[in-house]
Amino acid sequence: MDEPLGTLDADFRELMCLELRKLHNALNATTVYVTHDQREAMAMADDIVVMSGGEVLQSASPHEVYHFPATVFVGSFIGSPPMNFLAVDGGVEAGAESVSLSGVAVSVPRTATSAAKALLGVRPEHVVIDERGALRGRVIADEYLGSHQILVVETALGVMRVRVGKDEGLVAGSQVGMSFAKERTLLYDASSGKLLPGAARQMAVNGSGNGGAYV
Amino acid sequence: MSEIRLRGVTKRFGDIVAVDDVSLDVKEGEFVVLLGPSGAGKTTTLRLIAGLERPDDGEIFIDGAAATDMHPADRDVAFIFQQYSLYPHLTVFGNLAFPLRSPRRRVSEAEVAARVQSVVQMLHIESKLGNLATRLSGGEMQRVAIGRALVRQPKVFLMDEPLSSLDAKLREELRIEPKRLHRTIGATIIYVTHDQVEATTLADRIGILEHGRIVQVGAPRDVYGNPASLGAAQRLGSPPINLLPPVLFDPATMPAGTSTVAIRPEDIVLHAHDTRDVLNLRVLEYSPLRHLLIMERDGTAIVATTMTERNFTPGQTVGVSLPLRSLLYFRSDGRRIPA
Repeated sequence: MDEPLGTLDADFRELMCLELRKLHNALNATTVYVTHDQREAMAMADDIVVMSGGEVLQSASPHEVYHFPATVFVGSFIGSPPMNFLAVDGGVEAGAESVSLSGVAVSVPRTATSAAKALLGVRPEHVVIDERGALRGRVIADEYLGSHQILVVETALGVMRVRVGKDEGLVAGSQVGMSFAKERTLLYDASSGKLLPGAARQMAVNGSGNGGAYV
Repeated sequence: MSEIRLRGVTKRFGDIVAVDDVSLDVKEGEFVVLLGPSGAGKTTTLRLIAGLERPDDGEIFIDGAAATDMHPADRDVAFIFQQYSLYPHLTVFGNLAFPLRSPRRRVSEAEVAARVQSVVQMLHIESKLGNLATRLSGGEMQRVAIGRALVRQPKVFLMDEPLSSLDAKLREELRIEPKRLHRTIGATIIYVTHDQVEATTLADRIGILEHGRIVQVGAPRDVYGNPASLGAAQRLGSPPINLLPPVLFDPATMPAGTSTVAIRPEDIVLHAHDTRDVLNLRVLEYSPLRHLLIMERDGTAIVATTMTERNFTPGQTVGVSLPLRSLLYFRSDGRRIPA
């Protein structure tokens, strides 16, 4: 199927995702489905194959693609808002359990490989607004989404997006500290854009790992 | 920049009432989003304000002056269409200069060049000035369409789903453009969309349209947290609000006439199943990706979201409580009952 829902409006698209997945199950069909819409992909797929420039970047379950993006591109492409990437001072050594972010030490799951230049990747929901958090920044915008909101925070390392609850908004201009859910941070080789293998990979949550047919 | 007032505006197409007795005040410099499903009358409302349609009843005021009978060209409003409608035979410069070269305006060529220049800078498309309009990406075309409205320095911008024909990722990137425009030039903007994310992130106020009628107008937090009707409650929220039968609740706590009790998925409190005041539900599915828990009781599905990842297995029982302060009550005709 080649983007069959592309021209529908948002509500109807969600409904049709559910219908198509039901149809797939009922027919016991083999389905290859093409889309640019990550929500469709997440909602329907057993496996997602992320492509760019004619190349397959990652082929895995929605859970895997979301929590362990194989490359920086995949982390930015999947997820709304996308994964935050922050430049690590210096590089990382194999076996390191902490990296330095603009002078601040941040603990990370042990990495198995070294890289001369590295990026730390963390999803907006795994950043915690924490007064004692070492990474400091200033809120520049607060995107209200009903069930939750996204704080856009300017830091010395660039703009970060942080997911907070619907009643936890902060006015633009507020100074905030941030910390990360350690087991949810990933390290990437900044020159190749590839995920550095390490301890994070083994810390997946339990569960089916399948996004399932629910939208 | 200026204000817009609609008073009891109605538009019929044959037997269909596309816009039904709509009254709306848009203040100077305000960003109002009209949100509704396809066919709700959003585009027709914009076209009435622009003068592309004439109302069957009611009146339209622009800047305090009666505009109902005014020619579209005299209203000084700019319309940005969903499909861009750029002139394919002209370059980006030609497209942007076009409205200024109208005999009605008599803008000098030097002034045309200066205004086009300032617009392309604002929209970051300086390098594309010489391109034919057909040789642009979707995002660039969308910017040119906005730019063509901007050069005219109109009183009001009317935007009809300007982002909906872009692909999902680009749509997200460009969502900041109308907002930035609004901040930079303090424009009065009426923006039509069916996308609730665009509505809550862009709007000063959201007007919810259903079957040609405005069912609620208010700030995003207001409409989300305090919906006037069942329709308005369902229009915002992803995953959608839970609609539950009254049998699940203690009749003593419910206002008379309740036919549906609603609660937002993020307001459901999950805890161990031995505390008091608890509803025991069976887990149907847990999606760790979206922190989305789907449960069931007597055939009614109940969806909860959690801020952090939890672990649930289909079939297990979860105790939840539905806090009184988070419950919304509705009559059978969909009207909200104040608690």
